Amino acid sequence: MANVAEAPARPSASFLANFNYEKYGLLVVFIMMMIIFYILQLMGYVNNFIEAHNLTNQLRNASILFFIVAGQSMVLLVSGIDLSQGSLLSLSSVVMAQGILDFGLAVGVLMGIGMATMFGFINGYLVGRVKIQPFIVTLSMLFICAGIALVFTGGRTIHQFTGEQKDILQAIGLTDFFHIPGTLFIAIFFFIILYLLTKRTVLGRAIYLTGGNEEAARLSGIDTGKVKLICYLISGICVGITSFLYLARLPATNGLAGFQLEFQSLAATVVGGTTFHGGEGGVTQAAIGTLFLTFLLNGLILLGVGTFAREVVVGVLLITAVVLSSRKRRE
Amino acid sequence: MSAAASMESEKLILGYPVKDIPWERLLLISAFVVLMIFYTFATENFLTLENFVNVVRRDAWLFFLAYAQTIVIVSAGFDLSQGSIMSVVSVMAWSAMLHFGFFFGFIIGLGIGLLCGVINGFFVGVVRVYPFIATLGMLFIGSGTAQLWTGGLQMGGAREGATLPKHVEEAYVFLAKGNLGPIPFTFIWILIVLATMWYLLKYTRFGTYVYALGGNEQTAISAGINYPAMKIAIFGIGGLLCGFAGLLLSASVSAAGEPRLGGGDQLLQSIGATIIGGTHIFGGRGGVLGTTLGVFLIIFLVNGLNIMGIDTYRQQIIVGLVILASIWVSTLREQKN
Amino acid sequence: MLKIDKSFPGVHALKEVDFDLAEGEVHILLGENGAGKSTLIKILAGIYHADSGQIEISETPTVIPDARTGRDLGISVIYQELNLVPDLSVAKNIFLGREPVLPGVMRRVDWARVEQESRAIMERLDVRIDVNAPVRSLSVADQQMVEIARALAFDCKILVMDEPTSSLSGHEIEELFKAVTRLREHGVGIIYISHRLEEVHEIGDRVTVLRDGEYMGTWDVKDVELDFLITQMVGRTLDEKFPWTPRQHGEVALRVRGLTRNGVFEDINFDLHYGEIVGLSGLVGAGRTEVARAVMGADTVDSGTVEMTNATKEKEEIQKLPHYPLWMALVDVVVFMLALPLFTVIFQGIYDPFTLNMNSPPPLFSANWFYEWILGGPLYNIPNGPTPYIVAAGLALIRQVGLWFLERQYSWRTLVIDFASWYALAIGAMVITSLFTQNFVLEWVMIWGGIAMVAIRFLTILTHERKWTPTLAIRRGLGLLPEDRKTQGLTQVLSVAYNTTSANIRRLIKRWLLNLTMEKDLVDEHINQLKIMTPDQETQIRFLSGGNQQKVVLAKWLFRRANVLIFDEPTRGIDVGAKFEVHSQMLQLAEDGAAVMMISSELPEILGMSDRILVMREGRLTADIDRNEATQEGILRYAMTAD
Repeated sequence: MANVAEAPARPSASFLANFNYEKYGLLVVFIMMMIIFYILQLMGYVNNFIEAHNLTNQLRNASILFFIVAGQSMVLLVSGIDLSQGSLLSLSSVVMAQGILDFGLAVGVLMGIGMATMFGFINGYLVGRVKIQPFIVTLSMLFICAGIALVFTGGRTIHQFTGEQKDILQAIGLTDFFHIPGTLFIAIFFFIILYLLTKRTVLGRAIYLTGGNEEAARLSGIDTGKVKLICYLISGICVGITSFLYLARLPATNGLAGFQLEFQSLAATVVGGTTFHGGEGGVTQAAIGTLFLTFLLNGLILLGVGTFAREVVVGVLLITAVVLSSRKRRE
Repeated sequence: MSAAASMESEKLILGYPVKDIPWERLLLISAFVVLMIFYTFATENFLTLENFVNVVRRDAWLFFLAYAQTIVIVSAGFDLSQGSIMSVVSVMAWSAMLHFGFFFGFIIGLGIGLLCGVINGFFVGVVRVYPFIATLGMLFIGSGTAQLWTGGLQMGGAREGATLPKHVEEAYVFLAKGNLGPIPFTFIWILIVLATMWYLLKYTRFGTYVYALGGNEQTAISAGINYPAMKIAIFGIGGLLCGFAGLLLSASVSAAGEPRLGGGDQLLQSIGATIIGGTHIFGGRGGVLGTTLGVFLIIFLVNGLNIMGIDTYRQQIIVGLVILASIWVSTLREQKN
Repeated sequence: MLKIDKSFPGVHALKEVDFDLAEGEVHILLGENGAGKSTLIKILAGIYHADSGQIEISETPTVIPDARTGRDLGISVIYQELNLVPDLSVAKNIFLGREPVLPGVMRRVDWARVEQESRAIMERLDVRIDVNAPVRSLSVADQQMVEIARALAFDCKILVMDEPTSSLSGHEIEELFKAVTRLREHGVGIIYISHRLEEVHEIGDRVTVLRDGEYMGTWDVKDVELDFLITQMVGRTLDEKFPWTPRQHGEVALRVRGLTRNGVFEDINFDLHYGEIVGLSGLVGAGRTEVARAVMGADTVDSGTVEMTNATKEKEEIQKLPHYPLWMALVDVVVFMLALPLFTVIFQGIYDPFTLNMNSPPPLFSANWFYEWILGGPLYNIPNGPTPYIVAAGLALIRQVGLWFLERQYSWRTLVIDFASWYALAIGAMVITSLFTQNFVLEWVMIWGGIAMVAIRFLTILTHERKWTPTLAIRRGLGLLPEDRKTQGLTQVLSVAYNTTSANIRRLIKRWLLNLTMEKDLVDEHINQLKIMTPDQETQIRFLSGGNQQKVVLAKWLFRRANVLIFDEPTRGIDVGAKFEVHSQMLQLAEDGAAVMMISSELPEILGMSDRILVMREGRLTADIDRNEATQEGILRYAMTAD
C-alpha cells in the first residue's frame, strides 16, 4: 500500500486528455446538437432553428425553466427530490394573479412567492426534521397543491388585470434587448447568486457535504436536517420566481399552469449531470441541462416530432443519464 | 443484560408485544369507523348496499393497483410508473380490440402491462438502478408512448370512424360493469386476485422470498435467492396487475383508449392505500389483506365526500392530507423505536 | 485444516496455521483482536481462499470455493451480527431458501412440515421458542437459538460460533451452553470463538491459541490455566518504535460522568487532561466506539453528562432528543381544527344562517363546513365578547400544561415561547379576519392562517433547547476521527480541500464569502504538514489510499484547531509510513497542549503511545492504569475476565 503508487496518475498535458468530460461533456454534446440541427436546417429539414426570433424565444423559455431546474438541483444535491414543483407553480401563480387583482401588483407578487416559499418550507420540514421520505412528501404535496390551486380558481383562468398591470408584467416578461430576452438577465443574475451560494458560502459547502455523505457531514458539525430544509425552501422560492416570470410573460394563468413541469425540471437536472445520489452536480450543470433540454425539445418540434414523442425522448434521456451516472459510480 | 428482564415481563395482545401494538393503525381504523358513522348520519345514501356495490364496482381498479404496489413495496421496492402503465395498456388494448376482438385485445393489454413491469424489474434487478429511478423513467416513457400512440386524443367514443364494434364494446363494458347473477363481475375479479395474491404471498416460496427480500436483503441473497429473477417477477406481477387495473378503469370510464388515464392521483392513492393498510414503507411487513382495508378506507372517504357534494379538487386535497398524515404518524413511530 | 496461509495486501494474516476439530467436540479458538481468528473461519466457510494449505473434511481433501459449497458440506457459521429476516416467523427463517414444496400445480409450501421440523429442532435443542412468532419479537438470545436451529436444519457437521455470548446475559448464556452441550452430544463439531476466558473451562474441550496470525498450540482444556492462555495470547512483538516522550499534563479538558446507554455501555466516568494521551483499550464490541460517539454527541444516551471545560464554564447536559410526540401532534390537529373556524367565524361574523342552504352541504373548508360537519351543527348564537379569547388561551394553556407534565424535557423557556406564539396566532387571526369583509378573504385566511399556524409551530420546535450534538461538541473544540473513516469521516465524492475544511468552513469567510485563495493556501499547508500524497487539492477522496484518507481526516481536525481529539482506531488498515505519521502528529498535538484519547485494538500501540490506559469490558470501564504499570497481560486480563 505505497502511497505514491495509489495516487492517480495525471495524464499528459494535452487539452483533450485534461478535458473534464464529467463536468463539461454535456456542453460538447449541446454544441454538437446545435451544429447538427443547423446542418439539418441548411438541408431544409428544419425551419427557422438558428434564427434570431426562435433563439430569443428559446432563450426566454430556458431562462424561465432555469429557476425550477436550479431549485431541483439544490434538492437533488442533498439527495432529495421535489415532485411538487409543477403543482406548486400552479398554486403560486394563481395566488399571485388573484393577489395582484385584489391587492395590487407588489403585494400580489409577494403573496405568490410567499406561498411557494411556505410550501417549500413545509416540504423541507417534513423531509429534514420529521424525516419522511422526500418522495412521498413531495408526491402528496403535488396533489395537495394542485387541489388547492384548482379550488382556488374554480377552473377559471385569471387574466383580468388592468392595462397598467399588464404593461408592467409584460415589460418584465417580454422585453428584449437586441434580441436578448430580459428574463435571461434575471436568470443570469440568479445564476450568479446561486453559484456564489453553492461555491462560496458555508451553506453551499454544507449542501455538498450533506449530499455526499450525510453521516460524515453530521460528524463534521453540520446540521444536516437544517441544510435539507433550506434546500427545499430554495426550491420553493425558485418555483415562486418561475411562476412570476410565467405570469409576466403571459399575463394570465389557471390552476393547471405548471402541470407536470416537475418532470421537465427533473430531466433537465439529471441530464445536466446532477445525480440522484447527491453531492455531485450544481448550478452550472443545471444551466447546461436547461439549455440542452430546451433546445433539444425546440429542435424536435421544428423537426415535426409531436408533443408526446418528445415526452418519450425525455424519459429515455433521463434513464440514460441515470444509468450512465450509476455505471460511472460503480467503477 | 436488560434483555432478559424485559422479555419476561412482555405480554402479548393480539399477537403483538405490548410495546409493538400498532397504535397508529388502530387509530387509523377507529378514525375510519368514526368517519363512516359521521357519513352515515350526515348523508342519506351512504350506508346502503347500493352505494357500497356502486363504489366498489367503480373503484375496483384501485384494488389491483394497490395490490401491485403492495407486492412491490413489501419487497423493498417502489413503483412510480403505475399510472403510465395504465395509460399505455388502455390505448394499446383498445387498438388491439379494434383489430383482433375483445379477447385478444384483453390479453394483449395484460401482456403490455407485464412487459412494462418486466422492464422495470430488469432495470432494478439486473442493471441495479434504484427502483425509484427506474420506474420514474418508465413513467415518462409509458405516458409518452400512450400519448404518442393516439396523438393525445381519446380513442373511440368521441372520435368518429374508429369505434369498437358493438359486441366488443359490450364485452369490454361488461368487464367492469357486468353482473354475474346478482354479484357484480368486478367483485369476482377482486376476490380472485386477492385470493391469489394472498396465497402467493403466504403459501409459496415466492411469497416468502418477497418478504425476505424486503426484510433483509443480504440474508435473502445469502440464503440463495435469485435477486434479479425475483425483482423481475415482482415488478412483472406488479405490471400485470396495473395492466388489469388500466383495462378495468378504461372500461368503466368510457370503454375507450384514454392516453391520460393514469395521469391523475391514481399513484398516490395506490401508495396511500398500501401504507394505510399497514405495509411498511421500507419493505418486509404488510400484505394484501391490510391493503384491501386501506383501499376501502380511501374509496369510502372519497365516496362520502362525493355524496356530500364536495368537488374533486377538494377531495384531492383531503386525500393528499390524509395520506401524508398517515405516513407522518407511522414515521413518528419508527423514530421512537 | 493444515498449514493454512493467507496474506492480505500489507498484512500476513495467517502463517501456516494448523487446526483440527473432532466430532462432538467444542474447540475454543482464542486470540487477541486481529490475531487471525476470523480470517481462519472465513477460509473454512469459503468466503476467503487460502493462499496455501489444505482443508480436509472427514479425511478427504476438500476445496471450498464459495459460501454455498461450504454450507452444502455441512459447515455453518453464526456471525456476531445476526443474519435473520426480522419479520418472518422463526420457522420460515429456519427454512429460508429450502422450503419443501408440496406436489401439485399449486406449488404450495408445506408449512406444516416446516413448522413440525422446526419444532423438532427446537426440541432437540431443548429450547422453548414459539416457531410461529416473528423473529423481531424474540430476544437476542432466542434469535441466536434460531440461528443455531437454522444451522442444524442444514444438517451441519461443523458449527462455527463467533462470540455468541457477547450480547447475552448470564441466564441466557446458560441456555446457550445447554444447547451447545446438546449439539455436542449429537456429534456436531463446534468451533467456538470467545473473548470470555472463563467460558473456556465451562464449555470447551480443547483450546487453540492464535497470536498475530501464528499458531501457538492446542491444549486440552483440563491441562491449562487461564494465566497460561493469556501469556500465550500476548507477546506480540514490540519491534515497532513509538515516538513517545513524557509530557506535562494540564487541567481537565473533558469530564465524562455516568454516561449510560442501556444495553450498550453503563456508567462511564473518566477525565481527560490537556497534554495527555489516554489509550482506551478493550476488545472489539466492548463499547469503545459507542462511547466515543456518545461523547461526540453523535448518538443519544440515556443518562450522563459530558462537560468540556475549555471554552465555557457552562455545563452542557446530554439530553434525550426532544421530539414531536404523537399526542402533541394530535392535540395540535384538534386545536387547529377547532381554532380556525372559531376565529374566522366568531370574530368576523361571516356565518350567516340566512344564506345557508341546508339541502346542499356548504363548501369544504369554509367556516360553515367546519361548523356543520365537525362541530356537529350550526351554532347560531356565538357570543361576541371575551369568550373566544378565553377559549384560545385555554386551549393553549391546556397544551402547555400537558407538555410540562408529560414531557419534562421541555424547558420553561420553550414552553413560554410556545404559549406566546399560539396565543399571538389566535389574536393575529382575529385581527386579520376582521380587516376584510369580502367572502374570498375567508379562503385567504383559511389558507394563510393554516400555513402560518403550522409554520410557527415548527419554528417553536426549532427553537427547542440545545442538546449535545456534534455541532455543539465541535464548537467546544472536540474532534472525532471515526473508526470507519470511509463512511463516517469523509465524503468520498468530494475533493481533498472540501473534506479538509468541512469541520470549520466558517474559518474561510472573508467579506461574507469563502475566500478560495485562503482555502488553497491553508489546505496546502495541511497537506504539506501531514505529508498527504495527493496529486492536488481537487482530487476526490476516493482516489486516495487508506493512509492518506486517514491523514485527511486528521487534517480536518487540525484545520478546526480542535483541542480535544478522539482517535478511533487511527491506524487500522494503513501502511507503516502513514502510521508513523499519525503517531507523531498525535504526539505533536499533545505536546502543543491538546488532550488526546486513542481507541485501539492493538496492544503495542496502546502501550507505546498512551500516558494512561483505560480498559473497557462489556460496556463498563474496568481499569485505569498508568503507563508505567501497564503490561499486555494486565490489560488483557481486565479486558477479558470478570473480576
